[in-house]
Amino acid sequence: MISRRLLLAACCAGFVGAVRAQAPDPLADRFGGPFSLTSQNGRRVTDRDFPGRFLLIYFGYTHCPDVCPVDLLVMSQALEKLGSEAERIQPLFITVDPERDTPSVVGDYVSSFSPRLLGLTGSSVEIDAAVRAYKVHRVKYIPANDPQNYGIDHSSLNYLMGLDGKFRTLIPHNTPPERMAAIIASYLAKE
Amino acid sequence: MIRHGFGWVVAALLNAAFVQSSFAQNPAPGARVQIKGELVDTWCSVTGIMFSAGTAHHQCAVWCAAGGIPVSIKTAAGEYYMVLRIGEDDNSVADKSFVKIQSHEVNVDGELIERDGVKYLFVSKVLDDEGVVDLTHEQNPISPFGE
Repeated sequence: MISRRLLLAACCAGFVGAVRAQAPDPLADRFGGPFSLTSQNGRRVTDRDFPGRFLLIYFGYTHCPDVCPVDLLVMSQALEKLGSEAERIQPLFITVDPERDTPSVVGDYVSSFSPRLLGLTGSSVEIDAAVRAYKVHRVKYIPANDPQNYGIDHSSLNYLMGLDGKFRTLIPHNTPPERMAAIIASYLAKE
Repeated sequence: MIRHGFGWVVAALLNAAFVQSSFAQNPAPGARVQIKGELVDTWCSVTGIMFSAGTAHHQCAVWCAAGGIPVSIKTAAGEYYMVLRIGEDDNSVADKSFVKIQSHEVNVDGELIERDGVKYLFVSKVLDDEGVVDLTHEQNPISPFGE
């Protein structure tokens, strides 16, 4: 009788533990969502096109004078530090300036940072949807004397999305490449 | 045999009920905290792309909140707590209540999740709202576009 009770208690504890271990991450649905965009090669790309890989997503634009080049350089250095483990990650650059950033423009731009970085653009509606899903800040500044030469203030964050496509963590601007690599590695080790 | 089988079923149901109720009470696990500070729009403030405090930045802060940009509480020590939920509202980052209280000095109670150096806050209750107390427009231009 005692052994049956012990067995029952052990089963209950195991069940509770198992369920708790699968408790949903409260941050998982806070950032991100489906997107459908155009790659630098002119191919239609969605968030479901990278099975078995983490996504490391950065929003910016090719005319960005300062923040984007620095952040993309840091991203590429972090990926280098991860070595072969970086193969498990698909880095994406999504433009917030679809007006000027055509697929070929985005392609030329990202190739100067990393051959693995995939540039994405789209219609203004498609970009708006992606920006909204990831809660990206962007404000366009149009100089009165040179309206074509506008700038865009934007969020400077890396979004790490897990194998299930859900949000894992934010890696902000000014994070050193060593730190970024360490953060990413900690998630690679878990999944 | 039948009694034993019935016992297992009851135990399983009780177990499931316990698990369900504990999750219902703790949907956002984290440390219980009270945070006092100014409600700001996170990206303008964290990135430092413009002056982003008080009345001089109020207009921009409201735009960001209305546009769904995450709102943060910036403490006097300069720490940021990104607010992901307030009360029962599960979509706070684009919530109208934030538009109404942007730039206000507030004291809130909630649960804190820290991940990779970023602090995420699930607010249960706004304990105190002092309104806009940081009158920065007296010494700073209105950002981002001026008056």
